[in-house]
Amino acid sequence: MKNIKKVLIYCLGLVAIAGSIIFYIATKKPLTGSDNPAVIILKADEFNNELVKNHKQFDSLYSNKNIGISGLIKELSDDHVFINGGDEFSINCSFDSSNFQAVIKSYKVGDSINLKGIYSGSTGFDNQASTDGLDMIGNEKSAELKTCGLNR
Amino acid sequence: MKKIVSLLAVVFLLHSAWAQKIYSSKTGQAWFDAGTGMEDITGTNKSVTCAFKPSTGDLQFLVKIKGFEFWSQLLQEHFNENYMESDKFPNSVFKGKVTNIDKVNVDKDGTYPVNVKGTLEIHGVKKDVESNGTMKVVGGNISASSEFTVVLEDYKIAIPGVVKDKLSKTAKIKINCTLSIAK
Repeated sequence: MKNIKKVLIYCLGLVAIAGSIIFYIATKKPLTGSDNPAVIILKADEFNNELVKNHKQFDSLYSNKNIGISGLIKELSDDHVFINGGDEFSINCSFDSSNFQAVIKSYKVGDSINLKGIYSGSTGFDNQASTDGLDMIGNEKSAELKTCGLNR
Repeated sequence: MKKIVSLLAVVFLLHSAWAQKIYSSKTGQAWFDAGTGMEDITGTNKSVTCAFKPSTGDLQFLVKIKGFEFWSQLLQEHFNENYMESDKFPNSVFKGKVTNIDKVNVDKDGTYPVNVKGTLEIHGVKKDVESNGTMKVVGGNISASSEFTVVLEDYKIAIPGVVKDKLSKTAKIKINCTLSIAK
């Protein structure tokens, strides 16, 4: 009888542990750029060079990873910071509203800024848009980062 | 007489140039809901690229699949790796037209109901779609919004049996873009 009780308690314990692990995995929030350290930090023109060299390799290494970018602000609008990457290349960093308020309090167009965000991908490095027939969007080179924050 | 002809020519050229203007945005938003009510299966993308040419009614947008944000890491992984295969199909695109463009005056502030028709590509599959939307003109900018309902199976998005109670067979998609004249 005692043994059965022990086994039952162990089983319940295991179920509780397994349940906790499953609950943790199922409800774990995604990585955000603003709350985590960057795995790589690049200047805007270096970022452009990496994508020109081999954007597919860069995507495979850094997609959904937090990357840090430094450069000059080209535009500030709609919770987005656009960094000028030179050679008709811009980096589009989207913020949540509260983090964006912190940016526009301290920065303006033309200022140098250090940002980090989760890399979502790039456009315009392999004529994908042309292939898709998106002639109005065209082949303007850009890279998108999400959940951005200042990289202090 | 020569002066009048020259003036008319300038006005005509300016009007033609203006009419060919393209309105665009890189900060459009896309939102989808594919849940049955049992679980939150929604995602938001804040970096949709949109373009609109009033003279022809042409409308295009491009959505980076990896740009969607979710409430859970697991949902994000399943979305990208299993359902959308975003490494293989990184973008979703729409190419179409506002079919009642003659009812939209981009030079006059107002809210204009629009009909949108075109080709929507998701997960590498292109389908013809049609929907209603609105274009709100304010101070030279255009806020365009539209909704689509898509059948996931039509785009070869497989729903595993283990989640069939949580994941709907259809997904509602909303697109919002605030467009301004491209520089």
